[in-house]
Amino acid sequence: MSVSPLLSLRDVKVHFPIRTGLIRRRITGCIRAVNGVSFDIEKGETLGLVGESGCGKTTAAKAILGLEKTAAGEITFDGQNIAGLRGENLRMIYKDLQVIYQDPYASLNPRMTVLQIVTEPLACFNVMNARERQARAEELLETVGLDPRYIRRYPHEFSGGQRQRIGIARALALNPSLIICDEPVSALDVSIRAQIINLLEDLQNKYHFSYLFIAHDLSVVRHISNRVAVMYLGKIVEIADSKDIYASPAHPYTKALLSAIPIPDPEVEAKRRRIILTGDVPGPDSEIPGCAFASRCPVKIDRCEKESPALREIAPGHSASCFLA
Amino acid sequence: MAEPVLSVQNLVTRFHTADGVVRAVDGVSFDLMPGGSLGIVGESGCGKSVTHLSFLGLIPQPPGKIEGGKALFKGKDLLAMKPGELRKVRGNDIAVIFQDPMTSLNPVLKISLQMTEGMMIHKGASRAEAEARALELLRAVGIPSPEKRFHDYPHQFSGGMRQRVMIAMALMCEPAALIADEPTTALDVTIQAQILELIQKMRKETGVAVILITHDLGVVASVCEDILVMYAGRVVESAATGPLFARPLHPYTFSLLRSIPRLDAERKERLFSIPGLPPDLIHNPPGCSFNPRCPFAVKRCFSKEPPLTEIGPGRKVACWVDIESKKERAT
Repeated sequence: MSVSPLLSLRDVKVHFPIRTGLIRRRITGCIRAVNGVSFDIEKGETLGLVGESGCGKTTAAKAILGLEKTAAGEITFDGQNIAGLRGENLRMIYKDLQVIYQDPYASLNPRMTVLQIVTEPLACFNVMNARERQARAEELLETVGLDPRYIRRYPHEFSGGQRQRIGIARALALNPSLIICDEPVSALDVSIRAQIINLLEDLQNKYHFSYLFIAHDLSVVRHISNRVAVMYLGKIVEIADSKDIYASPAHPYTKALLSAIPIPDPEVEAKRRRIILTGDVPGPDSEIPGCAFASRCPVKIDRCEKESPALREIAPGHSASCFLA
Repeated sequence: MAEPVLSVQNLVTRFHTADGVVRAVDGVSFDLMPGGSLGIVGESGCGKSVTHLSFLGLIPQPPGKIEGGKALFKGKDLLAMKPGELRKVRGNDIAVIFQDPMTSLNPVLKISLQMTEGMMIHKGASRAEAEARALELLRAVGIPSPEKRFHDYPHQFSGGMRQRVMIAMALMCEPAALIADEPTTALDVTIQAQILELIQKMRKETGVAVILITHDLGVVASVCEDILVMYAGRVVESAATGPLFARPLHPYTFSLLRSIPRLDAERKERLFSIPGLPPDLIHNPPGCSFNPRCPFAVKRCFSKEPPLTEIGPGRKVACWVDIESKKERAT
C-alpha cells in the first residue's frame, strides 16, 4: 500500500516518574508503561491490541489521545504529528478521533440527558443548530439500536449494554475517522457482548472508519480485528494478521496467551496442550537488560537475558520480537 | 451410588426491597458428589452466587429471606441450623474462595495469622500444628519459599499469588466441599490457567468436591464434570460437561454457546447474538423467563413456566420445546 496510514506510532514511550520523599519531589526511578511502541493503522482497518493488565495498552491509547504526555516518539494522525499537541491544537483532533470506554457506568455523565451526551461533541465544535442536533441525536440513537424516544432520559435509566450503545452514539456524532475502543465489551454480560460486537462491526461496514480495539480477551480481538498486536510490559512482542496470530504464533508469550484461553468445548479442551507460565510479571519499574519476557519464558536461551530482541519481520506482515522466532 | 456431599433441594431466596420482591434464587436443586466438580454458569444477577451464600448463611437478612428448600450437607440441613452450628461448618467442612483476592484477605493481618486462625478455632489445633500445615499447603499451591513469605501481608503478594494463598487457606481444615465463586475473573488469562490447574490438582490430591461458579463457559469446559446453567434465578439446564457442550438443549445455553467468539473457529462475518436484555428479577414475565429473548418460543412459553425435567440419563432441561426437532415437548 502506498497510501500513508491513518495513524502511525513510531517508537512511542510513556514514562511515569516514581516520586519519593516527604513532598514527593525526588524522582527515584520511572515506570516504563509504554516503552517503544510502533504500529500503523490503515484507513478502514481494525487493529486489535491485546495484553494482560498493566502491559500498557490503555496508556498507549491515552498517549494517542493526548491524555498522557509522551516521553519520546512520534504519533502521526492523518499526516499531522499529534504527539505533544496541547490546547486548541489538541482539541481539534477530536473531530476525527473518538473513544469508547470500558465502563459504561463511569463514562456517561449521570446528570446529562442522552440528548446532551450524544450532542456534546457537536456542541463542542459548533456544528449544527439546536434543532439539527436533536435530529442528529435521534438518528444516531436509531443507528446504534436505541429507541429515539429515549432522548430525554438519563443514563441510570438504561442497562449496561444500552449505555454502551449511548457511548458508541456519542463517538459517532462527528463522523470520526478513527475510534479507539478501550475494552468496550468486558464490562458487559456475556449474552450482551455479541450484540455490541456485531454493532461495532456493522457501523464500520457502514461508515468505513478505523478502530483501535483494545482488549485482554484474544478471542474477541481476533474476531473483530484485521490485524492483532500483542503487548507485554510496554512493548509490542508480536504483530500479525488475525488469521496468522492464531495459526502460527511466533512469540512464546503469544503462544502461552493463546493456550491459556479456555475454549468452550470440552473435547477440544481435552486435546489441547496448555502452556502454563511459571512466575509473575516483573514490576514495570525494574530495568530489564534483556527480553522482558525472559523471566517467564519456557524456551529462553542465555542471550535473552543480556540482549533485548527487536521487533523484526519474520514473514510478510508478521513481526515478532524473539531471537528464536 | 454414593451419597452426595451436598444436596440442595428447591432452594428459594428472595430479597424484599422497596421496589418489589427480587426472586434471586427460585427453586434451585443440585447434588454435589464426593470428589466431584460441578460448574454453575450464568450471567450476573442470575442467582449463582446467592445460591451458595444462602445455604452458608451469608445473606443479609433482611432484606434477604430464604423462603424454602433444603441444603443437606452430609444429611444435615444447613438451612435449619442455628448460626453457631453453621459457623462450625463454614470454613471447616465447606470452604469458599471468592472472586477478588484483594478484598477477601484482611489487609492488616499477616497471612500466617489469617491462614492458621480457622484451623485453631475449628480443629483445636495448636499454633505450631496449624503453622506446619499452612506451610505445607503454601508449598503445595506453589508459593516459592513459603517460609520467607509466611509472615508477609496480603499487599506483598501479586493477584495470582494472593489467590493461591486463598486456596491454601480454604484447604486448611480439609473441607469436604470447596466453593470457588468466580475465582479467576479478577486475574489475567495466563494466571487464570495456573489457578484452574491448581484447583484441579488439589481436587485430585485431597479429594475435595468443588463447585466452580463462573460466567465463562470456557472455564467450566476445562475444569468441571457436571454443569448447571442458571438464568433468572432458576436452573434451566443441567448435564455432564461433554453432552452439554455437544448438544445444548435449552435455547439459552444453545444461543450463549453460539454467541461467544471462539479462538479455534473460523472467523465468521457476524456473531450470533441473543436479542434483548437479561431479565429484571422483580418484573419477571409470565411463563418462562427467557421467553422475550428466545428464538424457539411457542405459545405455551408465555403462559406457563417450564419445570426442570429429566429427559435422559443425567440430563435435565427446563423448556417446553425440543430445540432439535423444533417440536413442543409432550408435557
